[in-house]
Amino acid sequence: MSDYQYTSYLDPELKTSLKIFLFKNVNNVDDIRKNIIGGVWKCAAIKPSLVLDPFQVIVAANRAAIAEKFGNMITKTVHSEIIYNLSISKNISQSLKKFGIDQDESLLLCFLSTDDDNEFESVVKQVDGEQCPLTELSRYTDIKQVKDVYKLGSVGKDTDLLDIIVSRIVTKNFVTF
Amino acid sequence: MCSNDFKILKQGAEAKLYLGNYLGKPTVIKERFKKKYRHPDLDESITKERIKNEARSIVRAKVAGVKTPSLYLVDFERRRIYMQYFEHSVTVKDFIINIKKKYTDDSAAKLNKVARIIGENVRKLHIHNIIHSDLTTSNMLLVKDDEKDINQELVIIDFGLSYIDTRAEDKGVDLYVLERALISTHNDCPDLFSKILEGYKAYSNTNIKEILHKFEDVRARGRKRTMVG
Repeated sequence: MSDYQYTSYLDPELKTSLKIFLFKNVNNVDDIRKNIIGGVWKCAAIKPSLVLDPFQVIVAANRAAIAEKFGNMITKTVHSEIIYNLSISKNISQSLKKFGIDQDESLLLCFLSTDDDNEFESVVKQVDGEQCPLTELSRYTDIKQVKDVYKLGSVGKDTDLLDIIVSRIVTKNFVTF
Repeated sequence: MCSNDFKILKQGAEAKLYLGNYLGKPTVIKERFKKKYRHPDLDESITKERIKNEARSIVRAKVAGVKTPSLYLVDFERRRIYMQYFEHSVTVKDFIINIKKKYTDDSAAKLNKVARIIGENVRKLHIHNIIHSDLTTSNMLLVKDDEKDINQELVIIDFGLSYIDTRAEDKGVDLYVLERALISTHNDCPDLFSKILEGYKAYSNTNIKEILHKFEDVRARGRKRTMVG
């Protein structure tokens, strides 16, 4: 199981890492949603179809954790802040709806944790689905939807989409696209 | 002060540049330090506006089809922009100086090619009304193609003085700034600017006459409008 765990360190001042898990054929999406919304599970569940690369989530999560540290989050929890950050819209409920899970069968589960924090392990066990290595993410990415949600319809075909996406994520609070 | 393994790369009048690894990527941090002579509140708001402005132009340039550094974090609290560092790159300045140093048969062709690419990219910025305001060959990088070691892609950096404006006048001034910079940095390449201008003109026709006309005006009088009369 732990082979499929993907960890990335965030800003060195945070002493926090981001753990990402990819699941497919998930049968208990409703329970997962309930647990996250109810605050029982401290994690974020994201639609993999809108994620081009794990780095996109890393940038959004880092920005969320920094906002938490400095006390200027837009949403209520750091986990909803990750999802809000992924969207370039400033509308919170639309952002959460778009990037959060709904009736999806596949999902990305993201945890922010410190080194001695293993809370994620018990949560991951409760997901009724198949874990996949994050390297398989591209199978779930829907480029057309990604372009649509990040308003990249007009860019040339040689454009580095991830470059524009992460740059838009970190400037969403003061740039309109 | 900047944390952990970041090393100072450069110190300017407005900001310090640090180099290190962030979120697993080679990263430059541009930190605009506090100016002690300013009132703290004013200093904060000026800095915040400048950070916003720079980041905004970098993002807009991408959509215009001009390669700029990826942004990893814009941090008003720490007064920093975290952005992509291009490890395998040379400044256009060094590239041109090197070509001049060891002259070969294809030197002229290489120079012409790079001049045309510069012209096209400046034109792309101007089509999207991005005025860079500090176009120099030090603010342009050529990123090496890993396999062939050919300098392929042009990256424009340092949008610290940039702004958005539709007027031909501002675009003319932008070209003039570039011409002046070339004269002082590369006076051994007298036709470099004219080649750049060819690339600029060839890329698109829109509004070109007016911009070139304004450029000639600016050239005749200098960057600032005359205050006499």
